[in-house]
Amino acid sequence: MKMRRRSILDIIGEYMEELERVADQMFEARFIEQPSWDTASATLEPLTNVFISAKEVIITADLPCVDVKAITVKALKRDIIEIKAKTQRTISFDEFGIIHRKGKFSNFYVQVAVPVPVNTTKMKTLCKHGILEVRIPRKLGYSVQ
Amino acid sequence: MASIIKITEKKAVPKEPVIITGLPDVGLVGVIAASEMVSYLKMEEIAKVESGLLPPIVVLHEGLPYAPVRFFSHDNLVTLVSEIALPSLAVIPISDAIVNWAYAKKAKLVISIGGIAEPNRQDIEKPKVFGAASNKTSLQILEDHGIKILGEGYLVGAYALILRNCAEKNIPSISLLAQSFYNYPDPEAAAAALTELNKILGTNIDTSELLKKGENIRLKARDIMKRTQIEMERMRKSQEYGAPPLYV
Repeated sequence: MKMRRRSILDIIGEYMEELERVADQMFEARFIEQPSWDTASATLEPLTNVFISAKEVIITADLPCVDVKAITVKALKRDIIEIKAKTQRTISFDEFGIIHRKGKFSNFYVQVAVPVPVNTTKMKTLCKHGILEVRIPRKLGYSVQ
Repeated sequence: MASIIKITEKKAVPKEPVIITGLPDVGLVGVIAASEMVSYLKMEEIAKVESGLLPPIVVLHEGLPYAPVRFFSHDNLVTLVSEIALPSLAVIPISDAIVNWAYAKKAKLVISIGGIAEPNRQDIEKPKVFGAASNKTSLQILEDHGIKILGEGYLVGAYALILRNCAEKNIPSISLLAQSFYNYPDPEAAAAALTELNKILGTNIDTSELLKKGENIRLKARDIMKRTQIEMERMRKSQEYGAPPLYV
């Protein structure tokens, strides 16, 4: 049987499909299925968000039931920001009606990856309505004159 | 497409109901508001949504299994609440099925509660609520109640499709969208949306309890918010930040 020669459009189509498949795999890999709590260290993982503007990176974290004074933010590496916060009270599974698990939580903990180069020495933090905001100026590689 | 979604009624559905939808989206505004409504009005379960497109999940309440997407009713009000993040693939057929069901039940009005992501939400003390409508009748309802109308923009997700499908079937429909955090549960935004809903429906759902338990809701809803965020990214939800290029 005579095979039809693949046209350039077929090849581009296949290439695009492969790209989509890789992009989907990368997307899935960002979200690892795991609990958002760790009973061993009594920690809950907060929800976070990273926003990149032209001049700075803004990281926010949702920290309900936390005293503002009990939050610490530290740059672990040039691209990892560690957020720790102590809760005002101990939170247990019972509060959510879950009785088949035992565990009490007194901290929030998360490490946030910063996707672009930043100057962590100039990091500024602010907490408003239980939302922590960390602003870090971006490192500019070069300027055009 | 709607055929792959089944709405199974277990009790009588009110005649010409007003249907309120609270599906997971930005800030879980719809889910939080609709759940509060169900609990405040002591609404009764009347139907459930079933589909192979939904994950194989049952929700346990006091030891008994329930479908995660259910309709509740009280008088002529029917409220749809989802207790799970809706897979992006299910959003189109579920929206179609909801509107077909609303059409079959001769719904007087369909109201979708949702959030509109506001990057500087933490600087906003009282979230504003905006509205969009499916036809002139429902647009008039928004105007009569002094709700600001979203003039131009993109809407992405279930409430967008519900609004469009209602427009096609000429069912009066409103999207009530409160300024909200994108990926943090936002009980204050839900309370703001409920306040506007009270005006439209003439109900008096008390939002003070919702605000009081706000921190607990934020703690409890972290996981569904995280999963909803994944689905919102799949739907390219961030397009809502943009403006349409043309007026056609």
